[in-house]
Amino acid sequence: MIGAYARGKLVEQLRSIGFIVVYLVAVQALILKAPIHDALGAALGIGATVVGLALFMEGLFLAIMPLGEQCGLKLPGRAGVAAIIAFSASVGVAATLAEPAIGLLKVQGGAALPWESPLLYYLLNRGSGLLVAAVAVGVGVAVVLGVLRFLYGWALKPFIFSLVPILVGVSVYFELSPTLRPVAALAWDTGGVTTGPVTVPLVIALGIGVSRIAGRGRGGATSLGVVTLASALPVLAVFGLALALDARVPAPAGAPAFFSPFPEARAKALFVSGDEAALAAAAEKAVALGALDPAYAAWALAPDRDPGSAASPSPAAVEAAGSSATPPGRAALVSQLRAAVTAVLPLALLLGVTLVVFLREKIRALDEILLGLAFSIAGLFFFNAGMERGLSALGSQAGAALPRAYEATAREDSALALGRLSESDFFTVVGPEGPKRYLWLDYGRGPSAVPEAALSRDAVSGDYRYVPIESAVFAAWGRYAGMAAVLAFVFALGLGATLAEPSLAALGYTVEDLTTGTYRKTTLVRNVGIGVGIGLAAGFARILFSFQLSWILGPAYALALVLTAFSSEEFSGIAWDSAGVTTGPVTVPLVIATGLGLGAGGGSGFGAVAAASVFPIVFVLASGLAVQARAKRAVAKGALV
Amino acid sequence: MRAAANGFEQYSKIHCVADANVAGAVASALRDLGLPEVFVQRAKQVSLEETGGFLGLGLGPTVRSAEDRAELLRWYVPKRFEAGVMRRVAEAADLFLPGRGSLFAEDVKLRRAEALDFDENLLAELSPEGGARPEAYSVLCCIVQRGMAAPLADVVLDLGLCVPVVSFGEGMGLRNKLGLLRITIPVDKEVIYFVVPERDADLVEGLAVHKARLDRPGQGFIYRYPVRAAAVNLRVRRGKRSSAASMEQVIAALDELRGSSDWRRLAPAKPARGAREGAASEGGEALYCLSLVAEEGSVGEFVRAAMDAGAGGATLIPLEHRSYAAGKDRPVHARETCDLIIPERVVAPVIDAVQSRGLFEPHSLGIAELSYVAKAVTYRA
Repeated sequence: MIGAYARGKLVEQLRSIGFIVVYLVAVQALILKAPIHDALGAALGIGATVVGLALFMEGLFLAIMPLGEQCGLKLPGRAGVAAIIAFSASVGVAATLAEPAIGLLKVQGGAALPWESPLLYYLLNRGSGLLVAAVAVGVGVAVVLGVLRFLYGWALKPFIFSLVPILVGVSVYFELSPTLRPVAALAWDTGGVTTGPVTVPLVIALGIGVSRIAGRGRGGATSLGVVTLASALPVLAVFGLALALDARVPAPAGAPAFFSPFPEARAKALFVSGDEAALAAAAEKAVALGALDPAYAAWALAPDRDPGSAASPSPAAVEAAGSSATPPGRAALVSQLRAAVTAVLPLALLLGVTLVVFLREKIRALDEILLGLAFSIAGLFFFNAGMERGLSALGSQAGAALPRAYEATAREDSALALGRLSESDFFTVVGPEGPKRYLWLDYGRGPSAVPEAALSRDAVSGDYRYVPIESAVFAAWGRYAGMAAVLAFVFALGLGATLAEPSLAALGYTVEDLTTGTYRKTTLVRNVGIGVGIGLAAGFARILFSFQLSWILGPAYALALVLTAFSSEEFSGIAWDSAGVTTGPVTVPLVIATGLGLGAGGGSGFGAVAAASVFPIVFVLASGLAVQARAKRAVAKGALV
Repeated sequence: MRAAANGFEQYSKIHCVADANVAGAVASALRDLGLPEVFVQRAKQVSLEETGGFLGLGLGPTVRSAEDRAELLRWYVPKRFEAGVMRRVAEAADLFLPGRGSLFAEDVKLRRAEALDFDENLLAELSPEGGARPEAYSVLCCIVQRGMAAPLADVVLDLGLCVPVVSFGEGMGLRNKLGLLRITIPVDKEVIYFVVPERDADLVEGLAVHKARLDRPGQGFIYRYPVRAAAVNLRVRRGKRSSAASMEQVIAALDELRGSSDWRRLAPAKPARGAREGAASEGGEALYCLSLVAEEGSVGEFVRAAMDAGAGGATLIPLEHRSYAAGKDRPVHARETCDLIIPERVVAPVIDAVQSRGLFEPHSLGIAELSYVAKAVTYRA
């Protein structure tokens, strides 16, 4: 009995991640012809991901969602509005603090440079506490509004029609300001990643509980919408935070201006860096990157500089730099276990204490809940550990190999150390441009003639070295064909990653249940997957062709608003909620890995997640409108048959 | 019905299956009637849709199942108002038109925590004429594992018998006796309702037993009860039509002419081996359906008490409670219901058990409803 049960759950998850695994391996091995490093580790990681997903999903259905729904069912009858608001705000704040995804943004923005985007650098380093607090406030207010909406029967559409234009408008304003511009994409991505695998099912279940009690004769799918608010309001909160900090950070005007010793500039630079030591470390980095003249750095920092500080950066700087690094071996596993416990237990305790202590309610099926919580924690642990070694590793490798699609690549991994060469090793070929010297080399593809100009020679030792240059995979079709291939890759990556997203699976089951199976989980996941794929392709086109994020978000949100106007309240809830759940723990690391592979570090990769969130809205709304139209036509035609 | 003497009152229970697009019209009619209590169950109506194949080229399957969201509304009225209320609702939502829904009623006996308070002046204005059709109808209620409703519905639709109505529920029974191992047994169930002329009931039952393997352990069960139908959704197939009458209409006309659907049976329906037939009797005893309705989250307790007193398994179904009477709306709308099919000898002990567990206390918002079951079929070792 247990064997059949476990087999069923594992097979289900194997199916959900099968596409993305096969796809990543196939693209890397067959198209990009790049070797798969540590294939055994990746296979073990994928196995752990499957086990983790199976355990986590079961934990969601056994513990987290029932606890959330029971709270939602009991709160309105037993507590006043003030208590409901306090509880909802606590859930929102606790959910954000427990959400590990915000750390991923720090990884993505880890390479941000303080003189290029001071505000972004500040928010992702010294001000990350403020960033998390702003997001927590946003999610907290969202959960409060979401619950009050069910209690008082407020429709979702007015929220959408008021919030989205404000967000897009503020986003456009941000892009007009050089200081605020880099933060716009971060803010949008924050909304996408904060609604993670624990938060989403919990707030959905809470909403379903409250709306079932509140009733009011509406369809069940109107019990959705909290995730929408929890995706939008953090964006607004981050925008607010950025506006508040705008005057305190310098405008991005290059390294010399940033490190200027003039009092006002220095005060702003110190605000961004934290202290003199961190500022000195940043200056050293700028010098190393060639952005700052060493003499200017010495002059600018000399008056206040502690002579030893540049060599030993401040503990804060070390911590900031280390936060993105992965702890090795056992420490990594302990850290992942701690993250899993932190993500699940505080929220579960909050719900359990609320039920037992404040609502005087017995927790239903306590044994199932406890088992489910254990499943959730174990599942998240295996999932995170497996993702890092499996899918994320595969994604990173494929991402790193992606530029090969459209540009020639130096294959450092195949570099040949040739030692000293004599004149007789070379041969001369006479061509239209005169005689040229060549060397016969075999670097794994049989003997080939390599021009002497392609060799590098160490000035001291005189040793020769050759790094093979591999032409672009799609060289025959031109650079743009290669870029189109990259965008096609990103589309399929988004589609495949979406199929494996646990939050979307939870939303899919919920929608299927609420609509009595008329809108199936598979339909929702497919539509969302296509939307995510197109969104990611648009987001990465922005990286490849360097255009503003509003060019994508503006028209897409405008289209989404138009479709919302014609959609029913319930499909609006499904569509806008699915936007919030798409970018979860499978998609985000893969997007970041791909972005970094395409050289989109330092924050320029932000925005892809936001773009991936908006297109699912469009696709789900369009499919909902088709369903609505068919249903209406069926009833109307009934009169004629 | 001896147990009915213990505080039970006779009512007419009206069921309305309304397509989601006409549910508003039904609600509006019920509001006009000031009904104090209506229970709403989420459901869908399944029919066949002719699609024209891939891109309308006739390639691939040209017929597919179409599922339309619906609401299954139920309410109680004194029997004398049944015909008038049914007629009013059917007219308001145009339920006589194919594809919109069905409307039927049965006799039940009710015992409840709180009395029902009707605005009899409003109901008395309704014409008592023209309620139900003269033809006898049955509702077959089949409970199966989640995912089994679709193939079963397809078979019934293929034969043009009726438009199945499907709802979701959660099983209670063997699962609850297994301790924590219960998580290995899927809790999700599908409840399918077939509204068919009495003459087709045996055929549909035979198909359900065969297709859903109800003659095997743990696969589910089916029971039926007689109803008076005011409107029945007969549109099993929709889409482009090139003939003057659809095949279903031709079959229906032939059924009408021949007086039964026996002429189109390929083979006589035989009860499956191992199946238990309780043709309104179990060892000569009558069977009853005891429906329990109470506040969400509490019905499970009552079902456990009922099972301890001799009842079999049950399926929990979430309901929404609505009141259309002025000033009667409640802050808590979530309810649950379950149907227990029990032989007459355990009716009294089961009712005593749920009563002692507090079903009829005011805070539980409980209702016990007893109705006649014509036949029930499930596996018996």
